[in-house]
Amino acid sequence: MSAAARRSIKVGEIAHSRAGDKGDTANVSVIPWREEDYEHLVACVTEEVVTAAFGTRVKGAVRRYELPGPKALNYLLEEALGGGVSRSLNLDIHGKALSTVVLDIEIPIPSRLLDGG
Amino acid sequence: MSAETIEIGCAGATELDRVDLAIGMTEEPVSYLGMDCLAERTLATAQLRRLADPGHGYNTLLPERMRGMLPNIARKGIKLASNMGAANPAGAADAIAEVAAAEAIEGLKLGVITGDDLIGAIDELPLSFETGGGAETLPGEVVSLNAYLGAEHVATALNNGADVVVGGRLGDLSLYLGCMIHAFGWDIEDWQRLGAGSVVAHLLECGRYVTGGAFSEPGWGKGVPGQDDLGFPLATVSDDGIARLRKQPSKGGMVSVDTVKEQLVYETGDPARYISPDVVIDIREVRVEPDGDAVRVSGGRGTERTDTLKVLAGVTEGFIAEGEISFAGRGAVAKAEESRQIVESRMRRRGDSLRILESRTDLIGARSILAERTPELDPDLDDVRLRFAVRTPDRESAEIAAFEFQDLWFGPAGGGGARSSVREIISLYSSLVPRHEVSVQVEVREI
Repeated sequence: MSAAARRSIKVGEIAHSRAGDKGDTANVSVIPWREEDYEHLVACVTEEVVTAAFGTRVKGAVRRYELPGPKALNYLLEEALGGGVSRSLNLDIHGKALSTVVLDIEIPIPSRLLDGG
Repeated sequence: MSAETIEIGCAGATELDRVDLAIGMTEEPVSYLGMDCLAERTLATAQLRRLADPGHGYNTLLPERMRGMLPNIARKGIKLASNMGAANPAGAADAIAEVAAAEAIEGLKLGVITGDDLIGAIDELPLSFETGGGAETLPGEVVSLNAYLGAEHVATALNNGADVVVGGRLGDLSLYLGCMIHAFGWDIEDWQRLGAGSVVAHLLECGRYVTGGAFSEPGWGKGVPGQDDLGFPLATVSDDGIARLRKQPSKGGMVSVDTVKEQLVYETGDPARYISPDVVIDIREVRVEPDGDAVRVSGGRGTERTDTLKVLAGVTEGFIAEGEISFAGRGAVAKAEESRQIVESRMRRRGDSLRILESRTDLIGARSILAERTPELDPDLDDVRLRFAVRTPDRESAEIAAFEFQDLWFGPAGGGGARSSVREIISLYSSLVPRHEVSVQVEVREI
Protein backbone atom coordinates (compact mmCIF):
# COMPACT_ATOMS: atom_id res chain seq x y z
CA MET A 1 0.00 0.00 0.00
CA SER A 2 1.51 3.35 -0.95
CA ALA A 3 1.95 6.00 1.71
CA ALA A 4 -0.63 8.18 0.01
CA ALA A 5 -3.27 5.47 0.31
CA ARG A 6 -2.70 5.01 4.04
CA ARG A 7 -4.34 7.02 6.75
CA SER A 8 -1.93 6.15 9.55
CA ILE A 9 1.74 5.58 10.10
CA LYS A 10 3.96 4.25 12.88
CA VAL A 11 6.02 6.79 14.79
CA GLY A 12 9.10 4.70 13.90
CA GLU A 13 8.60 5.44 10.21
CA ILE A 14 9.26 9.15 10.68
CA ALA A 15 11.15 9.36 13.99
CA HIS A 16 13.78 7.69 16.13
CA SER A 17 14.01 7.20 19.87
CA ARG A 18 16.28 6.29 22.79
CA ALA A 19 15.40 5.42 26.37
CA GLY A 20 17.42 6.21 29.47
CA ASP A 21 16.92 5.83 33.21
CA LYS A 22 17.15 7.93 36.36
CA GLY A 23 16.01 6.04 39.41
CA ASP A 24 12.54 4.62 38.78
CA THR A 25 11.87 7.15 36.02
CA ALA A 26 12.54 6.36 32.37
CA ASN A 27 13.11 9.01 29.74
CA VAL A 28 12.16 8.25 26.15
CA SER A 29 12.85 10.61 23.28
CA VAL A 30 10.98 11.00 19.99
CA ILE A 31 13.00 12.77 17.31
CA PRO A 32 11.79 13.21 13.73
CA TRP A 33 14.17 12.27 10.93
CA ARG A 34 12.97 15.38 9.10
CA GLU A 35 12.57 18.48 11.22
CA GLU A 36 9.43 19.41 9.26
CA ASP A 37 7.61 16.50 10.97
CA TYR A 38 8.19 17.91 14.45
CA GLU A 39 4.89 19.80 14.69
CA HIS A 40 3.00 16.74 13.53
CA LEU A 41 4.59 14.66 16.30
CA VAL A 42 3.83 17.41 18.82
CA ALA A 43 0.18 17.24 17.75
CA CYS A 44 -0.09 13.44 17.64
CA VAL A 45 2.22 11.91 20.22
CA THR A 46 0.56 13.44 23.24
CA GLU A 47 0.98 12.43 26.87
CA GLU A 48 -2.36 10.62 26.62
CA VAL A 49 -1.28 8.64 23.55
CA VAL A 50 1.99 7.61 25.19
CA THR A 51 0.26 6.73 28.45
CA ALA A 52 -2.11 4.46 26.55
CA ALA A 53 0.74 2.82 24.62
CA PHE A 54 2.55 1.80 27.79
CA GLY A 55 -0.58 0.61 29.57
CA THR A 56 0.16 -1.01 32.93
CA ARG A 57 3.93 -0.87 32.39
CA VAL A 58 4.08 2.74 33.56
CA LYS A 59 2.61 3.01 37.05
CA GLY A 60 3.10 6.77 37.48
CA ALA A 61 2.59 9.85 35.38
CA VAL A 62 3.78 10.48 31.83
CA ARG A 63 5.12 13.97 31.24
CA ARG A 64 6.16 15.42 27.91
CA TYR A 65 8.74 18.13 27.32
CA GLU A 66 9.20 19.94 24.02
CA LEU A 67 12.61 20.97 22.66
CA PRO A 68 11.89 23.36 19.79
CA GLY A 69 15.60 23.95 19.06
CA PRO A 70 16.70 20.42 18.22
CA LYS A 71 13.09 19.53 17.32
CA ALA A 72 12.84 16.72 19.81
CA LEU A 73 10.32 15.48 22.34
CA ASN A 74 11.25 14.01 25.70
CA TYR A 75 8.83 11.85 27.70
CA LEU A 76 9.39 11.13 31.36
CA LEU A 77 7.73 7.92 32.51
CA GLU A 78 7.45 7.73 36.27
CA GLU A 79 7.48 4.41 38.09
CA ALA A 80 8.33 2.58 34.89
CA LEU A 81 11.40 0.63 35.98
CA GLY A 82 10.26 -1.75 38.70
CA GLY A 83 11.86 0.38 41.40
CA GLY A 84 14.99 1.24 39.42
CA VAL A 85 18.13 -0.43 38.13
CA SER A 86 19.30 -1.84 41.47
CA ARG A 87 16.25 -3.81 42.45
CA SER A 88 14.23 -4.33 39.28
CA LEU A 89 13.42 -7.96 38.51
CA ASN A 90 13.01 -7.16 34.83
CA LEU A 91 15.85 -8.49 32.66
CA ASP A 92 15.96 -5.07 31.05
CA ILE A 93 16.73 -3.25 34.28
CA HIS A 94 17.41 0.07 32.53
CA GLY A 95 14.25 -0.03 30.41
CA LYS A 96 16.29 0.37 27.24
CA ALA A 97 13.57 -1.43 25.27
CA LEU A 98 10.94 1.16 26.18
CA SER A 99 11.95 3.17 23.10
CA THR A 100 10.51 0.42 20.91
CA VAL A 101 7.06 0.99 22.39
CA VAL A 102 6.86 4.60 21.23
CA LEU A 103 8.21 3.73 17.78
CA ASP A 104 5.32 1.30 17.45
CA ILE A 105 2.62 3.90 18.20
CA GLU A 106 0.20 4.43 15.32
CA ILE A 107 -0.49 8.08 14.41
CA PRO A 108 -2.25 9.85 11.52
CA ILE A 109 -0.05 10.13 8.47
CA PRO A 110 1.59 13.58 8.05
CA SER A 111 -0.02 15.64 5.32
CA ARG A 112 3.25 15.90 3.38
CA LEU A 113 3.06 12.12 2.81
CA LEU A 114 -0.64 12.28 1.93
CA ASP A 115 0.26 14.82 -0.74
CA GLY A 116 2.69 12.28 -2.11
CA GLY A 117 5.67 14.32 -0.84
CA MET B 1 46.57 33.81 27.82
CA SER B 2 43.45 31.89 26.98
CA ALA B 3 42.81 29.64 24.02
CA GLU B 4 40.36 30.49 21.23
CA THR B 5 39.51 26.90 20.47
CA ILE B 6 40.46 23.57 22.02
CA GLU B 7 40.44 19.99 20.86
CA ILE B 8 38.83 17.81 23.50
CA GLY B 9 37.91 14.17 23.37
CA CYS B 10 36.38 11.31 25.29
CA ALA B 11 38.61 8.51 26.56
CA GLY B 12 35.98 6.49 28.37
CA ALA B 13 32.36 6.61 29.41
CA THR B 14 31.79 3.64 31.70
CA GLU B 15 33.48 1.82 34.52
CA LEU B 16 34.91 -0.85 32.23
CA ASP B 17 35.03 0.96 28.91
CA ARG B 18 37.41 -0.15 26.17
CA VAL B 19 41.04 0.55 27.00
CA ASP B 20 42.16 0.16 23.37
CA LEU B 21 39.96 3.11 22.44
CA ALA B 22 41.25 5.19 25.34
CA ILE B 23 44.82 4.60 24.21
CA GLY B 24 43.82 5.40 20.63
CA MET B 25 42.43 8.76 21.74
CA THR B 26 45.85 9.78 23.03
CA GLU B 27 47.08 9.36 19.43
CA GLU B 28 44.53 11.92 18.22
CA PRO B 29 45.35 15.65 17.94
CA VAL B 30 43.67 16.52 21.24
CA SER B 31 44.82 18.75 24.10
CA TYR B 32 42.23 17.52 26.60
CA LEU B 33 40.63 14.19 27.37
CA GLY B 34 37.81 13.40 29.76
CA MET B 35 37.31 9.90 31.10
CA ASP B 36 34.19 9.06 33.09
CA CYS B 37 34.52 5.75 34.93
CA LEU B 38 31.52 5.89 37.26
CA ALA B 39 27.92 4.88 36.91
CA GLU B 40 25.51 5.54 39.76
CA ARG B 41 26.14 2.14 41.34
CA THR B 42 29.86 1.98 40.71
CA LEU B 43 30.88 3.95 43.77
CA ALA B 44 29.09 1.64 46.14
CA THR B 45 30.81 -1.44 44.73
CA ALA B 46 34.14 0.41 44.74
CA GLN B 47 33.60 1.31 48.40
CA LEU B 48 33.05 -2.38 49.17
CA ARG B 49 36.36 -3.20 47.43
CA ARG B 50 38.05 -0.54 49.51
CA LEU B 51 36.62 -2.00 52.71
CA ALA B 52 38.07 -5.36 51.72
CA ASP B 53 41.45 -3.80 50.84
CA PRO B 54 42.18 -0.23 52.01
CA GLY B 55 44.69 0.32 49.18
CA HIS B 56 42.03 -0.37 46.54
CA GLY B 57 38.60 0.97 45.67
CA TYR B 58 39.69 2.89 42.56
CA ASN B 59 38.80 1.88 39.00
CA THR B 60 39.91 -1.69 38.38
CA LEU B 61 41.18 -0.85 34.89
CA LEU B 62 43.29 2.06 36.11
CA PRO B 63 46.71 0.37 35.77
CA GLU B 64 45.92 -0.91 32.28
CA ARG B 65 44.48 2.44 31.19
CA MET B 66 47.45 4.38 32.54
CA ARG B 67 50.10 2.04 31.13
CA GLY B 68 48.64 2.63 27.70
CA MET B 69 47.82 6.33 27.98
CA LEU B 70 50.57 7.92 30.08
CA PRO B 71 53.36 7.75 27.47
CA ASN B 72 51.40 9.90 25.01
CA ILE B 73 50.01 12.12 27.75
CA ALA B 74 53.56 12.91 28.84
CA ARG B 75 55.00 13.20 25.35
CA LYS B 76 52.24 15.36 23.88
CA GLY B 77 51.24 17.33 26.95
CA ILE B 78 47.64 16.11 26.90
CA LYS B 79 45.58 16.94 29.97
CA LEU B 80 43.38 14.12 31.29
CA ALA B 81 40.46 14.62 33.67
CA SER B 82 38.97 11.50 35.20
CA ASN B 83 36.95 10.18 38.12
CA MET B 84 38.74 6.84 38.11
CA GLY B 85 39.60 7.43 41.75
CA ALA B 86 36.11 6.13 42.55
CA ALA B 87 36.11 5.32 46.29
CA ASN B 88 39.81 6.04 46.72
CA PRO B 89 41.29 8.98 44.76
CA ALA B 90 44.47 9.02 46.88
CA GLY B 91 44.98 5.31 46.24
CA ALA B 92 44.39 5.93 42.55
CA ALA B 93 47.07 8.63 42.56
CA ASP B 94 49.53 6.20 44.15
CA ALA B 95 48.67 3.62 41.53
CA ILE B 96 49.20 6.16 38.71
CA ALA B 97 52.58 7.12 40.21
CA GLU B 98 53.50 3.46 40.30
CA VAL B 99 52.69 3.02 36.62
CA ALA B 100 54.64 6.16 35.73
CA ALA B 101 57.67 4.88 37.66
CA ALA B 102 57.47 1.48 35.98
CA GLU B 103 57.23 3.12 32.56
CA ALA B 104 60.08 5.56 33.39
CA ILE B 105 57.82 8.57 32.85
CA GLU B 106 59.04 11.56 34.85
CA GLY B 107 57.87 15.07 35.59
CA LEU B 108 54.13 14.51 35.34
CA LYS B 109 51.91 16.36 37.76
CA LEU B 110 48.92 14.65 39.33
CA GLY B 111 45.91 16.56 40.58
CA VAL B 112 43.99 14.71 43.27
CA ILE B 113 40.51 15.85 44.23
CA THR B 114 39.01 14.59 47.47
CA GLY B 115 36.09 15.53 49.65
CA ASP B 116 33.25 13.85 47.76
CA ASP B 117 33.21 10.93 50.21
CA LEU B 118 30.84 11.94 53.02
CA ILE B 119 30.29 8.58 54.68
CA GLY B 120 32.21 9.69 57.79
CA ALA B 121 29.91 12.69 58.25
CA ILE B 122 26.66 10.87 57.62
CA ASP B 123 25.26 11.58 61.09
CA GLU B 124 26.02 15.30 61.01
CA LEU B 125 24.80 16.18 57.52
CA PRO B 126 21.29 17.56 56.94
CA LEU B 127 20.21 14.75 54.63
CA SER B 128 16.73 14.17 53.27
CA PHE B 129 16.32 11.08 51.11
CA GLU B 130 13.37 9.80 49.09
CA THR B 131 12.44 7.84 52.21
CA GLY B 132 11.42 11.12 53.85
CA GLY B 133 14.29 11.52 56.30
CA GLY B 134 18.00 11.09 56.98
CA ALA B 135 20.21 8.02 56.91
CA GLU B 136 18.23 6.41 59.74
CA THR B 137 15.25 6.12 57.39
CA LEU B 138 17.18 4.17 54.74
CA PRO B 139 16.23 0.50 54.48
CA GLY B 140 19.67 -1.05 54.97
CA GLU B 141 23.34 -0.45 55.64
CA VAL B 142 24.75 2.63 53.94
CA VAL B 143 27.94 1.50 52.17
CA SER B 144 28.70 4.72 50.31
CA LEU B 145 27.74 8.38 50.48
CA ASN B 146 29.22 10.71 47.89
CA ALA B 147 28.57 14.24 46.70
CA TYR B 148 28.77 15.12 43.02
CA LEU B 149 31.64 17.57 42.75
CA GLY B 150 31.87 20.18 40.03
CA ALA B 151 34.12 21.44 37.28
CA GLU B 152 35.67 24.22 39.36
CA HIS B 153 37.87 21.68 41.17
CA VAL B 154 39.02 20.09 37.92
CA ALA B 155 39.89 23.58 36.66
CA THR B 156 41.75 24.38 39.88
CA ALA B 157 43.88 21.27 39.52
CA LEU B 158 44.64 22.10 35.88
CA ASN B 159 45.36 25.74 36.74
CA ASN B 160 47.89 24.47 39.28
CA GLY B 161 49.71 22.53 36.61
CA ALA B 162 48.17 19.09 36.84
CA ASP B 163 48.54 16.87 33.76
CA VAL B 164 46.32 14.11 35.07
CA VAL B 165 43.39 14.99 37.30
CA VAL B 166 41.85 12.19 39.30
CA GLY B 167 38.91 12.36 41.66
CA GLY B 168 36.06 10.30 43.02
CA ARG B 169 32.49 11.36 42.38
CA LEU B 170 33.25 14.18 39.98
CA GLY B 171 30.20 14.85 37.83
CA ASP B 172 30.41 13.29 34.36
CA LEU B 173 29.94 16.63 32.63
CA SER B 174 32.21 18.43 35.06
CA LEU B 175 35.27 16.47 33.88
CA TYR B 176 34.95 18.07 30.44
CA LEU B 177 33.63 21.42 31.59
CA GLY B 178 36.58 21.75 33.97
CA CYS B 179 38.95 21.45 31.01
CA MET B 180 37.05 24.20 29.17
CA ILE B 181 37.02 26.50 32.19
CA HIS B 182 40.78 26.05 32.50
CA ALA B 183 41.54 26.43 28.80
CA PHE B 184 39.36 29.47 28.15
CA GLY B 185 39.72 31.11 31.54
CA TRP B 186 35.95 31.15 31.98
CA ASP B 187 34.57 32.72 35.13
CA ILE B 188 32.84 30.01 37.14
CA GLU B 189 29.82 32.28 37.35
CA ASP B 190 29.64 32.85 33.60
CA TRP B 191 26.42 30.83 33.49
CA GLN B 192 25.90 31.26 29.76
CA ARG B 193 29.29 29.81 28.83
CA LEU B 194 29.07 27.12 31.49
CA GLY B 195 25.66 26.13 30.13
CA ALA B 196 26.86 26.02 26.53
CA GLY B 197 30.02 24.13 27.50
CA SER B 198 28.00 21.66 29.55
CA VAL B 199 25.93 20.76 26.50
CA VAL B 200 29.14 19.82 24.70
CA ALA B 201 30.31 17.96 27.80
CA HIS B 202 27.01 16.06 27.91
CA LEU B 203 27.55 14.93 24.31
CA LEU B 204 31.17 13.87 24.91
CA GLU B 205 30.74 12.13 28.23
CA CYS B 206 28.59 9.30 26.94
CA GLY B 207 31.29 8.10 24.56
CA ARG B 208 30.06 5.74 21.88
CA TYR B 209 26.40 6.63 22.45
CA VAL B 210 27.03 9.63 20.19
CA THR B 211 29.16 7.84 17.58
CA GLY B 212 26.60 5.22 16.63
CA GLY B 213 26.24 3.06 19.73
CA ALA B 214 22.69 2.03 20.64
CA PHE B 215 21.50 3.61 17.40
CA SER B 216 21.04 0.86 14.81
CA GLU B 217 17.38 -0.09 14.27
CA PRO B 218 17.32 -2.59 11.41
CA GLY B 219 13.55 -2.96 11.82
CA TRP B 220 13.10 0.69 10.92
CA GLY B 221 15.79 0.80 8.23
CA LYS B 222 18.24 2.71 10.39
CA GLY B 223 21.81 1.42 10.15
CA VAL B 224 25.23 2.31 11.52
CA PRO B 225 28.40 1.71 9.47
CA GLY B 226 31.28 0.00 11.21
CA GLN B 227 29.37 -0.90 14.37
CA ASP B 228 32.09 -3.38 15.31
CA ASP B 229 34.69 -0.62 15.49
CA LEU B 230 32.97 2.43 17.01
CA GLY B 231 35.30 5.14 18.23
CA PHE B 232 34.97 7.75 20.96
CA PRO B 233 33.84 11.29 20.04
CA LEU B 234 36.01 14.40 19.92
CA ALA B 235 35.17 18.06 19.51
CA THR B 236 36.62 21.39 18.58
CA VAL B 237 35.17 23.80 21.13
CA SER B 238 35.34 27.57 20.89
CA ASP B 239 35.46 30.14 23.67
CA ASP B 240 31.69 30.70 23.41
CA GLY B 241 30.94 27.02 23.94
CA ILE B 242 30.04 26.19 20.35
CA ALA B 243 31.38 22.85 19.17
CA ARG B 244 32.15 20.84 16.08
CA LEU B 245 31.65 17.26 17.15
CA ARG B 246 33.04 14.31 15.19
CA LYS B 247 34.22 10.73 15.47
CA GLN B 248 37.77 9.46 15.27
CA PRO B 249 38.51 9.45 11.52
CA SER B 250 40.12 6.01 11.66
CA LYS B 251 37.15 4.43 13.39
CA GLY B 252 33.73 3.15 12.35
CA GLY B 253 30.38 4.51 13.39
CA MET B 254 29.15 8.02 12.75
CA VAL B 255 28.45 11.32 14.42
CA SER B 256 25.34 12.63 12.69
CA VAL B 257 22.69 15.21 13.45
CA ASP B 258 20.50 12.31 14.52
CA THR B 259 22.96 10.58 16.85
CA VAL B 260 23.72 13.94 18.46
CA LYS B 261 20.05 14.76 19.01
CA GLU B 262 19.41 11.34 20.56
CA GLN B 263 22.31 11.78 22.92
CA LEU B 264 21.34 15.36 23.71
CA VAL B 265 17.99 14.26 25.14
CA TYR B 266 19.29 11.01 26.68
CA GLU B 267 18.80 10.78 30.45
CA THR B 268 17.54 14.33 30.77
CA GLY B 269 14.36 15.51 32.43
CA ASP B 270 13.03 19.05 32.17
CA PRO B 271 15.08 20.47 29.26
CA ALA B 272 14.96 23.95 30.77
CA ARG B 273 16.51 22.79 34.02
CA TYR B 274 19.18 20.15 33.58
CA ILE B 275 20.96 20.54 36.91
CA SER B 276 24.67 19.85 37.18
CA PRO B 277 26.96 20.81 40.06
CA ASP B 278 28.18 23.72 37.91
CA VAL B 279 25.18 25.35 36.29
CA VAL B 280 21.52 24.84 35.42
CA ILE B 281 21.61 23.87 31.75
CA ASP B 282 18.89 24.77 29.25
CA ILE B 283 18.89 22.55 26.14
CA ARG B 284 15.58 23.69 24.66
CA GLU B 285 17.12 25.88 21.96
CA VAL B 286 20.19 23.83 21.09
CA ARG B 287 20.85 23.77 17.35
CA VAL B 288 22.31 20.63 15.82
CA GLU B 289 23.48 21.09 12.22
CA PRO B 290 25.66 19.25 9.71
CA ASP B 291 29.05 20.90 9.20
CA GLY B 292 31.22 19.03 6.74
CA ASP B 293 32.44 15.82 8.32
CA ALA B 294 31.27 17.04 11.73
CA VAL B 295 28.13 18.22 13.50
CA ARG B 296 27.86 21.78 14.77
CA VAL B 297 26.27 22.19 18.18
CA SER B 298 25.26 25.64 19.41
CA GLY B 299 22.56 27.35 21.41
CA GLY B 300 23.13 25.75 24.80
CA ARG B 301 22.30 28.11 27.62
CA GLY B 302 22.79 28.26 31.34
CA THR B 303 21.47 29.92 34.46
CA GLU B 304 22.86 30.22 37.96
CA ARG B 305 23.81 26.98 39.68
CA THR B 306 21.77 25.74 42.64
CA ASP B 307 23.08 26.25 46.17
CA THR B 308 23.03 22.52 46.87
CA LEU B 309 24.98 19.47 45.72
CA LYS B 310 23.45 16.11 44.97
CA VAL B 311 24.50 13.30 47.27
CA LEU B 312 24.05 9.63 46.45
CA ALA B 313 23.89 6.88 49.08
CA GLY B 314 24.51 3.22 48.24
CA VAL B 315 22.41 1.06 50.56
CA THR B 316 22.31 -2.72 50.95
CA GLU B 317 18.72 -3.73 50.41
CA GLY B 318 18.31 -7.45 50.24
CA PHE B 319 19.06 -9.95 47.51
CA ILE B 320 17.90 -11.09 44.09
CA ALA B 321 17.84 -14.75 43.08
CA GLU B 322 17.41 -15.71 39.45
CA GLY B 323 17.00 -19.02 37.67
CA GLU B 324 16.53 -20.13 34.07
CA ILE B 325 15.75 -23.33 32.17
CA SER B 326 15.02 -24.00 28.49
CA PHE B 327 12.41 -26.18 26.83
CA ALA B 328 11.96 -27.06 23.17
CA GLY B 329 9.73 -29.16 20.97
CA ARG B 330 6.13 -30.19 21.41
CA GLY B 331 4.60 -28.81 24.58
CA ALA B 332 7.51 -26.49 25.36
CA VAL B 333 5.20 -23.77 26.68
CA ALA B 334 3.23 -26.32 28.71
CA LYS B 335 6.48 -27.58 30.25
CA ALA B 336 7.43 -24.07 31.20
CA GLU B 337 4.04 -23.66 32.89
CA GLU B 338 4.45 -26.98 34.75
CA SER B 339 7.87 -25.79 35.91
CA ARG B 340 6.44 -22.55 37.19
CA GLN B 341 3.83 -24.45 39.21
CA ILE B 342 6.44 -26.86 40.61
CA VAL B 343 8.66 -24.03 41.80
CA GLU B 344 5.77 -22.07 43.29
CA SER B 345 4.50 -25.12 45.13
CA ARG B 346 7.94 -26.00 46.49
CA MET B 347 8.53 -22.44 47.62
CA ARG B 348 5.17 -22.40 49.39
CA ARG B 349 6.15 -25.59 51.20
CA ARG B 350 9.25 -23.85 52.54
CA GLY B 351 6.95 -21.79 54.76
CA ASP B 352 8.40 -19.03 56.86
CA SER B 353 12.00 -19.95 56.09
CA LEU B 354 11.58 -18.37 52.67
CA ARG B 355 10.79 -14.66 52.66
CA ILE B 356 9.95 -13.17 49.27
CA LEU B 357 9.24 -9.48 48.70
CA GLU B 358 8.57 -9.61 44.98
CA SER B 359 8.69 -12.23 42.25
CA ARG B 360 8.49 -12.50 38.51
CA THR B 361 8.54 -15.10 35.76
CA ASP B 362 9.49 -14.51 32.13
CA LEU B 363 9.39 -16.62 29.02
CA ILE B 364 12.45 -15.36 27.23
CA GLY B 365 11.87 -14.82 23.55
CA ALA B 366 8.10 -14.82 23.98
CA ARG B 367 7.11 -12.63 26.89
CA SER B 368 9.77 -11.00 29.00
CA ILE B 369 11.18 -7.45 29.00
CA LEU B 370 7.97 -5.92 27.65
CA ALA B 371 5.70 -8.56 29.17
CA GLU B 372 2.78 -6.16 29.55
CA ARG B 373 2.61 -5.94 25.75
CA THR B 374 2.03 -9.71 25.34
CA PRO B 375 -0.95 -10.73 27.47
CA GLU B 376 -1.59 -13.93 25.46
CA LEU B 377 1.12 -16.50 24.86
CA ASP B 378 1.25 -18.55 21.68
CA PRO B 379 0.90 -22.11 23.11
CA ASP B 380 2.68 -23.61 20.09
CA LEU B 381 6.01 -21.88 20.63
CA ASP B 382 8.58 -24.66 20.52
CA ASP B 383 11.80 -23.11 21.86
CA VAL B 384 11.44 -21.11 25.06
CA ARG B 385 13.51 -20.22 28.10
CA LEU B 386 11.76 -19.84 31.44
CA ARG B 387 13.18 -17.35 33.91
CA PHE B 388 12.38 -16.80 37.56
CA ALA B 389 13.45 -13.82 39.62
CA VAL B 390 12.70 -13.05 43.25
CA ARG B 391 13.71 -10.28 45.59
CA THR B 392 14.29 -11.27 49.21
CA PRO B 393 15.25 -9.43 52.40
CA ASP B 394 17.97 -11.95 53.38
CA ARG B 395 20.62 -14.09 51.69
CA GLU B 396 19.23 -17.37 53.07
CA SER B 397 15.89 -16.85 51.30
CA ALA B 398 17.64 -16.02 48.04
CA GLU B 399 19.78 -19.18 48.31
CA ILE B 400 16.69 -21.30 48.93
CA ALA B 401 14.91 -19.81 45.92
CA ALA B 402 17.98 -20.32 43.74
CA PHE B 403 18.16 -23.94 44.86
CA GLU B 404 14.53 -24.53 43.90
CA PHE B 405 15.08 -22.99 40.46
CA GLN B 406 18.12 -25.20 39.89
CA ASP B 407 16.19 -28.26 41.09
CA LEU B 408 14.11 -28.09 37.89
CA TRP B 409 16.62 -30.58 36.49
CA PHE B 410 14.07 -32.97 38.01
CA GLY B 411 11.04 -31.21 36.52
CA PRO B 412 9.49 -31.84 33.09
CA ALA B 413 11.36 -33.86 30.46
CA GLY B 414 14.02 -32.31 28.29
CA GLY B 415 14.68 -29.22 30.39
CA GLY B 416 18.09 -27.87 29.46
CA GLY B 417 20.57 -25.34 30.74
CA ALA B 418 19.19 -24.91 34.25
CA ARG B 419 21.21 -22.33 36.10
CA SER B 420 20.69 -19.96 38.97
CA SER B 421 22.45 -17.15 40.74
CA VAL B 422 22.18 -14.89 43.79
CA ARG B 423 23.36 -11.31 44.11
CA GLU B 424 23.15 -8.61 46.72
CA ILE B 425 21.18 -5.47 45.95
CA ILE B 426 22.81 -2.11 46.49
CA SER B 427 20.09 0.49 46.05
CA LEU B 428 20.68 4.16 45.55
CA TYR B 429 19.02 6.98 47.42
CA SER B 430 19.69 10.66 46.78
CA SER B 431 19.58 13.82 48.81
CA LEU B 432 20.67 17.41 48.41
CA VAL B 433 23.12 19.05 50.81
CA PRO B 434 24.10 22.72 51.09
CA ARG B 435 27.37 23.36 49.23
CA HIS B 436 29.08 24.67 52.34
CA GLU B 437 28.71 21.27 53.99
CA VAL B 438 31.07 19.74 51.44
CA SER B 439 34.73 20.62 51.85
CA VAL B 440 36.82 19.81 48.78
CA GLN B 441 40.62 19.47 48.66
CA VAL B 442 42.65 19.79 45.48
CA GLU B 443 46.26 18.64 45.77
CA VAL B 444 48.80 18.71 42.95
CA ARG B 445 51.86 16.53 43.29
CA GLU B 446 54.74 15.72 41.01
CA ILE B 447 55.44 12.10 40.17
